Amino acid sequence: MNKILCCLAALCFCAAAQAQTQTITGTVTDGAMQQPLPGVSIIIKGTTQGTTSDAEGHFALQAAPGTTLKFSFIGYRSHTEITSTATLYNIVLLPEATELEGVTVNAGYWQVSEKENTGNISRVSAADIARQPVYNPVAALQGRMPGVYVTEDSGIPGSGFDISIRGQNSLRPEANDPLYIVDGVPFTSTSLLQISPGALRKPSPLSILNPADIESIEVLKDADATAIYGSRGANGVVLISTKKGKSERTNVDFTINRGIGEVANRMNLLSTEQYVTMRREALANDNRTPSATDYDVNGVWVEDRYTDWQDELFGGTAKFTTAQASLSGGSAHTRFLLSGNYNHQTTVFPGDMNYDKGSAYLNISHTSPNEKLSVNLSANYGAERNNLGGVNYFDMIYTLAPNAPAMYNEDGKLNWAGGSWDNPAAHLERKYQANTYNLITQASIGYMLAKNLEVKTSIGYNTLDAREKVLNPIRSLRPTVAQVGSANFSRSNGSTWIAEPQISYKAIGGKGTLTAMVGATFQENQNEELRVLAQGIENDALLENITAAPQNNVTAANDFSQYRYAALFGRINYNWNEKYLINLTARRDGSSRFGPGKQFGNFGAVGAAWIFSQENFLKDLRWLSFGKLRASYGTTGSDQIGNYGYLDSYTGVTGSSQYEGGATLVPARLANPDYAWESNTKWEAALETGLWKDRVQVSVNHYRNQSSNQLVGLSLPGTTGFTTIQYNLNATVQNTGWEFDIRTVNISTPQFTWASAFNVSVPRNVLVSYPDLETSPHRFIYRIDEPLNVSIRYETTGVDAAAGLYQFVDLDGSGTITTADDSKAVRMGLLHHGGFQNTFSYKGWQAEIFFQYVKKTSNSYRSRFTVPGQIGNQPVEVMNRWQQAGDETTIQKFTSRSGAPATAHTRWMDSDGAIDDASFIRLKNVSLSWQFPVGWITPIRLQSARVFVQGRNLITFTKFKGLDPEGHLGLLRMYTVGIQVGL
Amino acid sequence: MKTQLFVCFIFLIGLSACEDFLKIDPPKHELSTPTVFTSDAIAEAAMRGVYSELTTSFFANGLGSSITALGDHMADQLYSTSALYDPYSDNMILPDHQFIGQNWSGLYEIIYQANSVLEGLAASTLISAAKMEQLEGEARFIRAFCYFYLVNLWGDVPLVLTTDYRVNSSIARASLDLIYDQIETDLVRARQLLGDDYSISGGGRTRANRSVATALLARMYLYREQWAMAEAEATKVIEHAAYTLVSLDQVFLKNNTEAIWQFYPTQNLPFNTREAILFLPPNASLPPSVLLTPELKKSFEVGDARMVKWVFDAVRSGTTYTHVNKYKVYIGGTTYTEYSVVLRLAEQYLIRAEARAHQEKLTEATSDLNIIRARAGLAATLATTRSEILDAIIQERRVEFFGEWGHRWFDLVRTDRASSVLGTLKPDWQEEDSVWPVPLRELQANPNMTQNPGY
Repeated sequence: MNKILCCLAALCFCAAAQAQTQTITGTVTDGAMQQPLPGVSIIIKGTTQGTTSDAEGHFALQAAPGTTLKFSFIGYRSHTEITSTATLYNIVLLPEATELEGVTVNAGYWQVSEKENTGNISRVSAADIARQPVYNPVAALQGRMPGVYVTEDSGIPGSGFDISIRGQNSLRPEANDPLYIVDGVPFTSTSLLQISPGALRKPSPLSILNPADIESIEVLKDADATAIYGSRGANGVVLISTKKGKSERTNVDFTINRGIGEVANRMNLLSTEQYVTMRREALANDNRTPSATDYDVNGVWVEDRYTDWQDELFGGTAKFTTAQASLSGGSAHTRFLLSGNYNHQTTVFPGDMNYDKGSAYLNISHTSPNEKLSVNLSANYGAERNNLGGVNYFDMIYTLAPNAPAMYNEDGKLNWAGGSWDNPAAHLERKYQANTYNLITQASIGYMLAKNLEVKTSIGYNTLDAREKVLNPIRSLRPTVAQVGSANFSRSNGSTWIAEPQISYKAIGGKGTLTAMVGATFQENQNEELRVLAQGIENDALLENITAAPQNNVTAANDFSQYRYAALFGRINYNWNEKYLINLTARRDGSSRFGPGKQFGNFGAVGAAWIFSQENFLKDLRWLSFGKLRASYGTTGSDQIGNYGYLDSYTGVTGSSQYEGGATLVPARLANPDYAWESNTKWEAALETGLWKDRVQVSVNHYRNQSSNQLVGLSLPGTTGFTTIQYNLNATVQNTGWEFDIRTVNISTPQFTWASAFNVSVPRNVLVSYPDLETSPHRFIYRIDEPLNVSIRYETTGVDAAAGLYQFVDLDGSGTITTADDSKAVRMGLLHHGGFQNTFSYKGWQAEIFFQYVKKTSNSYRSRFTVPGQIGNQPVEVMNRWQQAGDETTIQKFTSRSGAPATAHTRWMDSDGAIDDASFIRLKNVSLSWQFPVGWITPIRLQSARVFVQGRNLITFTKFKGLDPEGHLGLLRMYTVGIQVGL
Repeated sequence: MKTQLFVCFIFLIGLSACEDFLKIDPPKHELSTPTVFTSDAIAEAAMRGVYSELTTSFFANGLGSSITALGDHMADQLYSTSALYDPYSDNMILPDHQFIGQNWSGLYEIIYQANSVLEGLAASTLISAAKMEQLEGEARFIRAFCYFYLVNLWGDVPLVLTTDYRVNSSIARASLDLIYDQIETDLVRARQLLGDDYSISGGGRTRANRSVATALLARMYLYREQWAMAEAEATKVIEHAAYTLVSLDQVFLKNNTEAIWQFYPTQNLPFNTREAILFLPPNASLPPSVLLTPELKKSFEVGDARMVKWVFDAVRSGTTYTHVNKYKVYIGGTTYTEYSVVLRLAEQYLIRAEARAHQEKLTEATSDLNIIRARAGLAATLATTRSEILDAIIQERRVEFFGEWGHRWFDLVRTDRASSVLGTLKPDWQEEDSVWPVPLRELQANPNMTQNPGY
């Protein structure tokens, strides 16, 4: 689109420019540093003609008086200068703090200036990413965008992030992922790793992307922005754009940084003395003596031994190293960028666990001298390797007794204590290795057929390969199980190709500008996997040799799935005098995930904006520099379900399940040929203002999204032979919310700048309708007029002082407490969240301090532990238990076995009493960098040099007593230091 | 104008292209259901799938959740050092206990598959007549086998005879009589359809044949107190040349001649049978966890060879742990010597003894009983009156079938002995404990499902 603009503008200015050009010269300096700025791009607006400032900041070019020159440099506010008859211009660029007018956002199929955007798109720039020590692009969004709620699963390298854009739309929690698009190619949100055991609970496929290669991440939220993505836009769209070669000058840039991380928090757990007291009291309460399996108190284990398992299992220090190099340059018509990256991470866990990734990225763009043909090619190859082991040690802490045996005997062998425990160190012997390789290639070719008509095709291909291997040697096995080793191998491949031909057209008539575009999408995804499980291997040395396993102990299986997607889409945008804007988008989508006759769906949206600050009657308001009202309405959809759900078929069972050793087929699924698209209607209104020359920018959004025709896996009774079926449910889920975004430039002098950004999101989710909820299986999960994260629970009245057991309200009035009393609806989860960013720059110094806050509730952290009194450690607070009649406590008496007290505990954990306030304010990110003065580095022939220190998750203020209020597993407090050098 | 035409043109091409583009083939590793029933070999593979599902199901796999483990805990046969079985030993089972749901869903999953095979065969024109008969017979037998256990564990249960989830997801419970009628219909039909030998499984006793259906029919008539019918069916099996009693050492060996139906081993590598995993101690230093109750030990008569051959005292750290020792091979490596036994001839003798006693054929009854006693090295029974003989048969079943398919539990319930026997042993015993609670999930997912009394 901007190509058309350029060409048009070029034509217009052509005549004037040729008439009376003159040579103009000048110097560009950095406003903060008071130093010359090399490499600044100087473009004659509306053309691609221009130049770049040299090492001393000098520039020279030919321009006629009245020409608009645009000075831009990454990390600085761009500056426009209209030339007069003067020939000398000294330009001061100020570091980028806030910028509205100049920011161009990527809307996917087109670019739009933030000012003229009719939709809601949030953006995180390369500069924001560079300030954070993150290894997954999604991590860089945390807290920084209104309406975008990102949670980190744990501090394990490569682990996943949950991203929720304006709340949960689908009743199926797993169907709320946004659409990820990397340079125009859809990118999977689910990992290909098949047998990934414990450590990485939710591996994130996006972790293979190198954050340093990313130019910007845009999140599309409202109907106007997302409807062009049709069926895939219901949960929002995340556009990841990689960097492009920028200037003609050849730049070489090196960055290296290293850091450490440790688990920021510990839980307050019982000492051995307290623990043994608990266990003995529990046995006494149950009138029992220690049984053969009460190893902790029956003499099998040393009773007074103590291990701080939190220190033992995740008390280590993780180390991070990243090295990055890039080379960019080119000519006026051809530019390139080549970069390479290597990242090495270790963990806080015991043993030698590593996560490594490396990537190479190449981008080439070319424009023909006549400006008609433009080509952009990019290729990104990444490789990831992890050997993070078979277990997530964060999860193990909840079942270990403080007097559990030592992990190793004196001879260095695993201590099984007669097979009485699950030795955590055994998992270190079980080798896991996952290698992932990812190639994303993309090419787009555009050609101007006429001055207002461009055809363009973009083609993308993405292939992701995963190889995994799990080895369970005999030496890692508990002596109570069969002493034979096993090995599990898996290979999977997921590939996507996409082709999107497009035609765009632009017409200018009077004060109006009409832009139109039509296009089509053809996309195919294929997934294939192969697994081999070899069991019964009698010698550890032969573990990786499948032929060492007895023939009937080898199980092999394969899987294949295919998905095709086709669409037609179009957009018409009309801009009248940069004052009134209307944007219409439409899409017709077809998906192979639906059965015959149900494959197609139509989606569309209208967005409009009124830039009221352009009205004459407001132009005199000095304090109002910008004002825009905008609104959008439209529909999107979702086909986030598995493939083939409509297909009634049989599938084979794996080797050892085969009956009589012959081919054995079982029904693959319960088929439903009749389900169709889930639809999502979005409505939004917003006010965006800039005050006092945009020193203060305030935007307020209100949205209402409704999802209906819900695609659910309907939970079925066992009498159907299956547990679920794919199904369209006529239920409606509504997400409404307010979002506030305030950006201020508090101090702006040539030397010192202080800017702040504050965002708050107040989402509200509600189940509006659900026919026959009272009789559906969902009646135990959802309630009408309540949010989807409502929790149906018992109502507790606390511990009965006489009997010492938790008491519950007999909600159904039956006289006894039964599962029917599990019926109180309790609202849980997220209430509001936000982020507060402060950036400072002073001469060569740049700093950021970023806070994230979340107001929410969650399940009690105690729900992760066993019943107090049974084997397994407990938080110290359980010592306030009931001991004798008359005790007024909040913790019931200890119990060592199943029975009424254990049932009461289990019910209490599912009651309104077991809810914790998991709100927190976190000093999420701190970064400080210092740019070496030019005088220091010029003698050693450097263009630039910068050192930086960054910290993440530094301080958390919370009442939550578990490991971390965010994901309940430990997050890492990280510190990194680094240096960046430009040649 | 030219532009508009061009745009329209692209749209038209796009529209027609889309329809074709979206046609995808079934996944390469799957077969559409109609295709499965187009050849004898593929249909046979689907039938093997039914057996595979049965043998690996939570109900029948012989591990902790199976009826073999749970039945004897609920009765007075076994106890465990692990708290896992407490609800069963105490007869305090909650509707959300995982084993209850796993058994219910597991059985109905097998029924779904049997129904799917029956529907597939009915719609097929390409299967040979002989294969059609064999597969229908097997599917009907397995469906009957599942319903037999469903009614005896839960009482009235839904009678599911199709694969249509719209029907099956809101199906109400059917009466016991209706279900038994269906079991009888299926077994009688299966008996007609199935072959007389084990040729379809190459001589291995791992597939249903006519005698397998007959043996279950005999048991069903016994449970229904149709004594003459029970006697007649049991006699057919007893008199069949393929079946003879074997020595106590051989009863659980693969393809022994006492076995009427055994499971081919699935999913239990490198073990032989899953019953061995359940009962045997894992190694020489660790104790077994599922043990004989003192009551069961006491009930063996002096000199009963089964106490020697089928029971073992494992001594660990000075403590004696008495465990079931019927299946003796814990890890068998690559060869199997033992198969899990489902139906065996000894039961047919005791079915006939009981059926005869009820018909006042007391001499014939004691004669059948004594055949089983003699094999265990015991003298002829001293029981003479009908009730003495019946008590002796129930006692004989107890010491013959411990650790197998929960026989004792079903015997106590069907002969109304549960309250008198268990009431004195288990303080929390209630009359209503003789049937299991309907799984909570069924009540939640099926609006027409009701709970059994007392839960």
